Amino acid sequence: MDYNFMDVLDKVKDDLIKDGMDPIKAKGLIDKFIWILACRL
Amino acid sequence: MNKKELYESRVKLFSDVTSGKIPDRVPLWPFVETWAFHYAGIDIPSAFLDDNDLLFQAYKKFYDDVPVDALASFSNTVPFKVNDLLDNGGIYTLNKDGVQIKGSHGKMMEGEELSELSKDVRAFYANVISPRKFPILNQSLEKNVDLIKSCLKELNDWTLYNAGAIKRWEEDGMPLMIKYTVYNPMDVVLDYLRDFSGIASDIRKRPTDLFAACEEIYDYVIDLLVDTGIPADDKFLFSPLHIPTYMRPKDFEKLYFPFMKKYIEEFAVKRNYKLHFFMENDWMPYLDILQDLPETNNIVGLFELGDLKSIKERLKGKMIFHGGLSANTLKYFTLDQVKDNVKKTFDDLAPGGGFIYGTDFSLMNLNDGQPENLIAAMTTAREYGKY
Repeated sequence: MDYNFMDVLDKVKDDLIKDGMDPIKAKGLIDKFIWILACRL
Repeated sequence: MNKKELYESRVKLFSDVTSGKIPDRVPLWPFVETWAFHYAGIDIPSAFLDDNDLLFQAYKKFYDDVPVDALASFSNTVPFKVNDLLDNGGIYTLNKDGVQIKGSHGKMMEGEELSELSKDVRAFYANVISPRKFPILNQSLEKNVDLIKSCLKELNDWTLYNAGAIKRWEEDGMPLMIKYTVYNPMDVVLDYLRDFSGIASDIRKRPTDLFAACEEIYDYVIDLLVDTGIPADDKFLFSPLHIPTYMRPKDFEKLYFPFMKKYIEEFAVKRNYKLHFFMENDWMPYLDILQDLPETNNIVGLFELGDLKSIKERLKGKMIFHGGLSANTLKYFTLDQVKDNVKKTFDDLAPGGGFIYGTDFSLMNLNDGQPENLIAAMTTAREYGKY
């Protein structure tokens, strides 16, 4: 992988915000998803 | 009594206990997980993935037949369809017997990497752990953006799927008393990052790095909890305590207990949340250390082994005792022996309140407990447990 996976998550977060999601909610969703990847699945 | 009143009366049994009051009777709360599906003859993958009416019906069959006052877990706690999208890189699999853990997949990092994790947990999880765990993520950024968006949609669908069943149980008068799971950072390291052999080595060789990593993981765990906006009410934040009894007491006191105490002080004492700790294995060697916990009625401890009466007495004012019904009783006792066992247990543990009756382990498979013994135990307890 020649980029950081966090770049993907930041792009998804930005798109969620563009689609109307509250920025704080979008950050919370991404943080939760990172947690699920590492510590739930 | 209508369903709403029934629900409220059941919750009140718990809120009385966690308010330091004597309830009308001892609350009955066995931890029943996939046992309920086997008992009801309902296919677990179908109930978890395809039709949440099956999820609802499995536990309805259980609580219609077994007199209990609440559900604990509803078992469907891993979003398997998200894992499918990620090419099944996660550590869990699902089959007809329930949720299984893949062997040794809990070791996702080396001990030398703990210091890197400590610098930024969130970035380490995203940039190091996630691509390592899910090789499918080693693709273009654009493809990953689409994949993650699909995962988020699936995650949302899974949340709604479960919420639909929970709503029906609660409208049927049966509360689900656990609403969120909070892991001690040491258990996170054990379960998802280093596995047992890895963390055992870290405790011996690099305790300072391990503690520093746990401090950062703790902050992340707590940020996620606060972000949920979950209110402090009668329901519990649940923590399964996996590693403590595999640690020497002096290591437990140094590496694990500080996070347990900090969490209790912040959430049980300051913020008035109800906390539930599943105290796995035998805690007798650790009771002296637990004396340093603050006084509160907001904590319930489910104890598995040891001298139960002594545990309850020594933790009075710090932890409400939950448990008392052993696997042996459910597996091997005759019905008369079960009834006698319930009465003896209540004679030891019920006086003075501060007691919730339940299994001292989670029932997974049908052979974890004979249905007739579980029904006999709870039926006897419902009468004998009246104050």
